[in-house]
Amino acid sequence: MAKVSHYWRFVIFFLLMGPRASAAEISAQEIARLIDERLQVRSGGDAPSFADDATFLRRLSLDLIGRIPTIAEVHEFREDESESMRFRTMERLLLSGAHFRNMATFWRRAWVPQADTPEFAAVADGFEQWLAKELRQRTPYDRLVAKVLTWNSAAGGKDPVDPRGFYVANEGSPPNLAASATRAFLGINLDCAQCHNHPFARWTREQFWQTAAFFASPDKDAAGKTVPPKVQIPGSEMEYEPVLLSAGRIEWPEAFDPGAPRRILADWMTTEPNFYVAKNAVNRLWAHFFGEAIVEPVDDLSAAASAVGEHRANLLGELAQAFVKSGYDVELFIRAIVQSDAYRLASRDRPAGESDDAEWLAKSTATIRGLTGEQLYDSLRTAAGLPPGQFEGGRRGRGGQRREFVSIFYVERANNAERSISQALTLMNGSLVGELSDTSSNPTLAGLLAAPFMTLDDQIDAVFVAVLGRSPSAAELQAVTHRLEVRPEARRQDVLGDLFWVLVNSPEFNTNH
Amino acid sequence: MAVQQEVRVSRRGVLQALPLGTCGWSAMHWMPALAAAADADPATSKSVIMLWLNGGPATVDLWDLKPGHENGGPFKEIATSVPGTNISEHLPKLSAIGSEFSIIRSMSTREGDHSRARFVSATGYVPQGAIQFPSVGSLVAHEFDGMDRDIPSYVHIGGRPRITNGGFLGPKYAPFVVSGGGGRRGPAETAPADLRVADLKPAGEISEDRQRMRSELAAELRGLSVLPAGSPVVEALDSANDRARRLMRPEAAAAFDLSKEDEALREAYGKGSFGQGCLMARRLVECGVRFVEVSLDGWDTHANNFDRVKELSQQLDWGFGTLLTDLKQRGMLDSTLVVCQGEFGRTPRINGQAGRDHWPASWAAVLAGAGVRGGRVVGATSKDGIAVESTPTRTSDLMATVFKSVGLDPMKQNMSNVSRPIRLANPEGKPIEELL
Repeated sequence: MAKVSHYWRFVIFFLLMGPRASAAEISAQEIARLIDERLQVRSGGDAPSFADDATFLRRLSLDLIGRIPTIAEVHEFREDESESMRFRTMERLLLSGAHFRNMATFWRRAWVPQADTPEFAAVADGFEQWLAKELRQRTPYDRLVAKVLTWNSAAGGKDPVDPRGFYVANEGSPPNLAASATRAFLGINLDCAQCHNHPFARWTREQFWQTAAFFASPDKDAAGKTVPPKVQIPGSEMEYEPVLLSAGRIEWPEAFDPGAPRRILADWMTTEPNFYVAKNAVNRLWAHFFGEAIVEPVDDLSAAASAVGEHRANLLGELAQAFVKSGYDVELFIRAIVQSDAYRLASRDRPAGESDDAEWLAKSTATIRGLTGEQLYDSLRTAAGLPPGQFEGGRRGRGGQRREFVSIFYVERANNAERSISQALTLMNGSLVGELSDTSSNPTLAGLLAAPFMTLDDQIDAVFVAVLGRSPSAAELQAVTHRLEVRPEARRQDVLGDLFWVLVNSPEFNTNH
Repeated sequence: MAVQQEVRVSRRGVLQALPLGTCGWSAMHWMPALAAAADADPATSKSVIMLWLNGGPATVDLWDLKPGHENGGPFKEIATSVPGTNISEHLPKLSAIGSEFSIIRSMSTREGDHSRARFVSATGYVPQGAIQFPSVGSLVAHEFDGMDRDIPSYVHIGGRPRITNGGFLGPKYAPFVVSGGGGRRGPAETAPADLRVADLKPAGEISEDRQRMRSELAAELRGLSVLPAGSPVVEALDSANDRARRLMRPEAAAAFDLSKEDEALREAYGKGSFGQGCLMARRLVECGVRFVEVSLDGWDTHANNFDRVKELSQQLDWGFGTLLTDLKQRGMLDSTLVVCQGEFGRTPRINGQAGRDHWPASWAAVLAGAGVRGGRVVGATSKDGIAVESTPTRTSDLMATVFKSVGLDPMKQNMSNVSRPIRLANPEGKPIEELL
């Protein structure tokens, strides 16, 4: 039954993707090969050490659909060891609705980070639902950026499923919008230049305000003719008109509507010769799947060449070109990453020193990462046998519980996620984990208790698979059963509940490795 | 002074005879000296209590009144115990101990937007791209690193901290938040505000036996874990779990338990969440917490300023006034700096709704304790309150003063997340010498 549904998914996939895929000038396989060559995954004497199947499936699920695999998914993956199983699983996850919602959260966090603060939290849902819809339709990335930049507020109805969150979170203010747009879409950090020339003299204060001017409303001159907008530096006489960062001349039309300046900016961004839009997208996607970005910090790409060394700057350039060649196809690029050998490497820790450039790249993959609040919440529910809580509406429903949990467990970047004492206390003693550690509200545990013919060892095994996506080692199994032997009076449901509690509080559950 | 020194030495001996987790003993009044003795270097054993007036207080109605001018409003001045220094009539407890604190009447800052002004007041810097500036609380906690203690070294009480994470110092130095108390409540409530640490006890009924069994199994399985060693992310998880467990121990949890305090004292602080927060701050400082921030919300008085400020003044007066007296009686005021400020002041001119709007150009802050001289007034504003006429003081100057008064070098540098060293206080700042 499962195989048939996979088959149909394949058919649907190729029906949907066929024309686009042939239009692209580069395939996912080619990009994957490029990644492996540049990272020298198979060079050197030793064969690469790949993550085992259970670890790979868990990593893939967390990265693509934002949650751990279910018990059924683990078993299915485990039973079929063929190479094609990996690809089938990738396709299944990539075509699921959860994948697009997961990536919508990812891009929203990159573009509208303000929505992670209580002040602007309200804009997150509408923006993410809009993004998920566009991503599912495979809107090319450059179009997506343009859609945000040229969004027409007059066309926005009551239903907030559109990019308005970008404008709300920036309070509609030209300087805020300029700083956010260049950071979010170009990976260029102009913030410093708002008040003074950039300390490293890359961007001037003048350039900042000239960029801000694109977001102001056009003026009318004395004759009633529309003229390019102007912005004034607060508390000064200095006034600026829109000028592109590359200083290219702007051909203003004879007459133009309020959206015209932003359209000019969007056109320039998505066609300028340094491919900042593509570099920024590739760099952030890389960080999502590998932990560290190719160039850090992610919002300061204009420093790249001088700051990160040739090898990394080149890799980013090559991948950005490949992305452009693919027709800005985000899904194709994600396929390339997850089918690369680099993505399959066993996790390890970062070397102490950032030594040689090439070595850094090879070693920076498969680092142990923390989970985002969304991943943690949805994984807790998945482990307990409940549906994950994405987009469950209503402030009072589960949507509200997820939102609250996510704001408590917010992490800015998974590769250097830390945990506070308050967060640790919430996971140990909070109501959510408390409920899920109780068999009455945990379908996984309830099912195990109700299943006939299951030995205690089988039940322990199942709890490990549900929470960690793998079976216990012999030593772990023994440790658990030994604890029980010394507590013969304990009820079976408490025993399983306690094991669930212990495992969801473990670093293994709380990381992507 | 010499006597105090002697006492300290002998109590160090006492400390060594005690089991760990000395905070359980904090109800005993010799606790402060003991906590001080517990530090390797007594010179660094200072703490800061920040009374944060959220929303931007009308300091022209608190510390720098303009009686007789149309901007002055209906409040009257009363004399403090320091001749010539007057404050609002609605701060009677504080006026009686005027020699314990000093008022800076010449704060002059640039940010008039709440979130930007809060950021600058918390970090000392304007937002600069990717640099994750830590707040002053995280910096003080980091400098007086007490990470081996059971209690977090930076605690925020009431509402949401201005900077919720630890900035480039990491979540280890993030504020530990105590919430509750049910919002704004006056000091005259019948039952004291119920301030509590969230999730300190398991949700549902889990017997101590089961809790112990869970911890033991967790520790055993952690030992068998196949995760590669040395990952910073894993280390952070282990450390947070470990510290959370230590905080759950009854001896540590008792630091947050106000029911151990004398009933009359609890009343004197005011029963609202701010008053009780001030009391908890004292308790935490006794246990060696380095930075406690107590937030009093509601100062954004665009309308109906005078009724609201009068009500808030009472909470402030009871909490702040009792805190200073209490600290002094316990011999803790010399080692504890108390700062009282908001993100900016409010327009001296009264608007059409009997309110005052945002005004960063001239406002007041108050300092007391630690190395700060009491009974002083720094700077002055014009008769209408609109302009600072002497000793203009920026946030950076105030920050430098705070660091210096607790014995920290404001120019000390920490490495930031963008590999650029950042000084404790913005280097343009100069400590206010007449207070030190």
